[in-house]
Amino acid sequence: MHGSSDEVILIILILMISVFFLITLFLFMVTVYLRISNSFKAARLRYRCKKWDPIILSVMDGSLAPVKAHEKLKWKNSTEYLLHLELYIDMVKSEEKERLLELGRLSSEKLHDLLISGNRKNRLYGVHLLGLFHPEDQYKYLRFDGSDFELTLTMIREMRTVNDFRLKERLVNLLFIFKYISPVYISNILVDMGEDIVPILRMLVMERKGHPYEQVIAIETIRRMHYTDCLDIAEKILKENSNPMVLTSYLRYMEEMGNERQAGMVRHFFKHPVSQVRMAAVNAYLAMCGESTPNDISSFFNDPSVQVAVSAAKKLNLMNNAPFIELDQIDKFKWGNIYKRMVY
Amino acid sequence: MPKIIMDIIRIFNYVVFIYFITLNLWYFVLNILAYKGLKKYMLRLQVTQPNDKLLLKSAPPVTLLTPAFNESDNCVQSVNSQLKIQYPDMKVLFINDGSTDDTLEKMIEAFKMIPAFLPQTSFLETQKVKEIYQSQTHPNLFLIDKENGKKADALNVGINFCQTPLFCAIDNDSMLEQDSIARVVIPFIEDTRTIVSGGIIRMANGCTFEEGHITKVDLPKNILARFQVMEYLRAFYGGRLAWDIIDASLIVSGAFGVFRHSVVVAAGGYRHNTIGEDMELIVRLHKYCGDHKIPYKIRFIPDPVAWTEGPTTLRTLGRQRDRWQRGLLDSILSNITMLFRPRYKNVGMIAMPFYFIYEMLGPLIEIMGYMVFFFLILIGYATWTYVIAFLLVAVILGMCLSVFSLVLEELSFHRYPKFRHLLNLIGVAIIENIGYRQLNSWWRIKGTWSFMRKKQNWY
Repeated sequence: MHGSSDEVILIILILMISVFFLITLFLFMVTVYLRISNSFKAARLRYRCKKWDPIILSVMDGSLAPVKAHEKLKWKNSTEYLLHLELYIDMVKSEEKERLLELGRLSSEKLHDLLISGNRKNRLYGVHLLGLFHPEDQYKYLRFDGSDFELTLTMIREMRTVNDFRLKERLVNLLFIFKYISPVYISNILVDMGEDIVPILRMLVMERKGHPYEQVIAIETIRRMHYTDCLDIAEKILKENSNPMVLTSYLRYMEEMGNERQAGMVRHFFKHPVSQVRMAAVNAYLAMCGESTPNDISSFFNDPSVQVAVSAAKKLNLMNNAPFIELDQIDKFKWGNIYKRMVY
Repeated sequence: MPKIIMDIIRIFNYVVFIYFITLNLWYFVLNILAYKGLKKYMLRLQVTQPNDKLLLKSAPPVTLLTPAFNESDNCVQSVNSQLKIQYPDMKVLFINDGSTDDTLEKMIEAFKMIPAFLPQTSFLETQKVKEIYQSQTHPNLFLIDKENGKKADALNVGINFCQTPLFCAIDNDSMLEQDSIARVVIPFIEDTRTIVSGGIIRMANGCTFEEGHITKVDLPKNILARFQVMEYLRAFYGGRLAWDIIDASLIVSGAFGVFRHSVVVAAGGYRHNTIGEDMELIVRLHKYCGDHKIPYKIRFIPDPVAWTEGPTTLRTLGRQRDRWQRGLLDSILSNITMLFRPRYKNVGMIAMPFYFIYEMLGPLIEIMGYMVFFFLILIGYATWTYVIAFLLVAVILGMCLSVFSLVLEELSFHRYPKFRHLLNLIGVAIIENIGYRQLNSWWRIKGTWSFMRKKQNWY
C-alpha cells in the first residue's frame, strides 16, 4: 500500500492495536478480579452464615428470644443478613415464622436506610424486605411514583398482604398504571390483598366502563375470591358492555357463581361475533342450567370455532347429562367428530 | 498494473477497513447494552425468584413440543427429564416424525401409551397424522405419530394439537433445567404483549447429567467444543441480550423457545421449505405483527438454560455452520421487504440491516479482504506491515469481544465454577481468533454458496 492516506490508515491501525490491546488487558484483569471477588464474597457469606445459623435456629425453636438474638448477631445491619433470614422464613410457618419475622423487624434501621437510599438497587431491596417483615413504621418511606415498573411492581407484590386499607387502595390504583401485566397475575395479587378490597373491585366493575382492562381484572378477582357481590348487576353488565374481554370475564364469573335464574341472560351470546365470548357463554349456560336441549347442542357443535365445540364437549362430558341425539344428526354437525369422541 | 485496477483495489480496501471498524464498533455497542441489561436483570433476580408462589400461580399453561426423528437411543430418557420439569401446568407432546427405527415402539412401551383423542385446535397444513397416544402413567404426556415431513412439519403438527395458549419448541437432545420453563414464561406474565420468549443455550459437552438434569458443570475436553462454549457466550450475552434490550431480537433458538400459540398460527406456523425454520419464524412474526400493527414483544432471557451437545469434529461443525448460514440467508432474504421500513421499528431499521450487511455479507467481505491482501503482497503493492497490522487488529478486537463476554458471564451466572475454567476460557478467547474464526467464515461462505445453489438438505 502506498501514499499518505495509506500511512494514515496504518497509523490508525497501530493506534487501534494499542488501544484494544489495553482494553483487552483491562477486561482480562476485570474478569479475574470479578472471579476472585465473587469467590471471596461467597466465602465471606458462607462464613457469616455459619455464625448466623445457630442463632437463627435458636430463635426458630424458641430457645432464644429475638431481642437477645439480635444483640448477639454480627453484621445484622447488612442486606445479606436479611436475605439470608428470608431463606429461613420461607421454609417455616406459624410460630416459628413469627419469631423469625420479629427478629428481622429488629433490623428496621437497615430497612429505613435502604428505603430512603438514592440508589435504586437499595430501594428495590428495601421494598422487597419491607414486604417480608412488614415493620409498619417504615411504610411511610414508600415512594408511590409509578415511573419505575420494576420497583412499583415489586412494591405492590411485596406489600399486598399488609393490613392497611389505605395502603392497599393506593397499591390497587398503581397496579392499573401498567396496562400490559397479565390480568391473571394482577388478579392473584388482588386476591392476596384480601376481602376488604371487594368494594373497590365492585366499584371498578360498575364504574370503569371505558377501562375494560380494569373491569376484567376486577371481575376475575371477585370470581377467584368466590364472592357473589357482583351477580346482582349481571343484567346491567351484560347489556351495557360491548367489550368482548369484559363479557368473557363476566360470563366466566357467572359460570362459577351464577344460578339457574340467570341462565337465560346468556343465551343470546351464543351468536356473538367473538369466539371467546361464545365459548364463555356456552360454559356459563351449561354450568348454570345443568342441562341442554338438542337445539343447544346443535348450536354448540356447529359453531364456526372449534374452541367453542371443544369447550362445550368438555363441559358436557363432565356433566354427563347430554340430551339424546341421533347418530345421523351428530354426523351433520360441523364438529360432530368432537362430539362423538368426547361426549357420545 | 493498470491504475484503474489499483484504484478499485484501493477502494475495496477502504470499504473493508470501514466495514471492519463499523462492525466491531457495533459489537462494542451491543456488549455495552448487554452489560447494562444484565446488571438490571441480575438485580431483578435477587428480589423476584422464578419459584415465587405468585408467579407460579399466574403461570400460563404450556405444551412442550418435542419433534423427533430416529431418536430411539435417547427418546425415553429425554422425555423422562422433560416430565420432571417443575411447572404447575405443562403438557408434553412428543411428535414422532415418521421414524424408521423403533422410537415409536420404545415410547409406547416405556410410557404405557394407548390411543387417545386430542382435539385439533388449529389447521396448519402438515403431513398426515397416523395416531395419537396418551400415556397411562403420565396423563400429561401425549405422542403423535405422523408421516415424515421434517422438523418444521412436525412442529406444525404439534401446534395443531396444542391445547394451551403457549407452546415450547424444544429439540429432543436438549436438556432443560427444572426451572427453565418457569423462568422463560415470566415475560408472558409481566407483559401480555410478549409473543415469544427464549432462553440461553449452553454446551452440554463435558458436563454431567443424571436422569436428564445437570449435576456438574465442566468445560469440554474437545477443543472445538470449547471454542463453541466461548462462541455461545459471545452470541448470547453480547448478541441476543443486547438485541433484546432494543426490542430487535431476530433469533430465538429452535432448541428452546416459548411461543404464543394464537400468533404463530395466525402467522402461518413454521415454514416447510426452509432449513432455518426457527429464525425464519421469528422474522416472519416481526413482519406479521408489524404489518397488522399488533403491539408485541419478542424477548430473550439470559437465565433459563437449555443444555445441548455441540459437534466435536470439524466435519459436523462445518455442516452445522453451513446450515445456519443457509438458514440466515433464507430468513433475511425471504423477508427482505422489511429492510429500512419504519413500520418494523428497530427490527426493520437496525437489526435487519445489521444482519444483511454484517452477518450475510460479512464472511464474503472478510475472505475477499484476506485474498486481496495476500494478492497485493504477492505483486508487491502491499507491505507485510500493513497486512500484519490489519490482522492484528482483527485478532485483538476478537479477543476483546470474547473477554468482554467473560466479564458478562462473571457478572451474572458464572456457571463454570472453578478458577481453571476461567483461565481456560480466557485462553480459548485468545486462540479462537487465530484460525477458528477464519474457519467459521469459510464455512459460512460455503453455506452462502450452497444457498445460492438452492441446497435444502440438513446433512
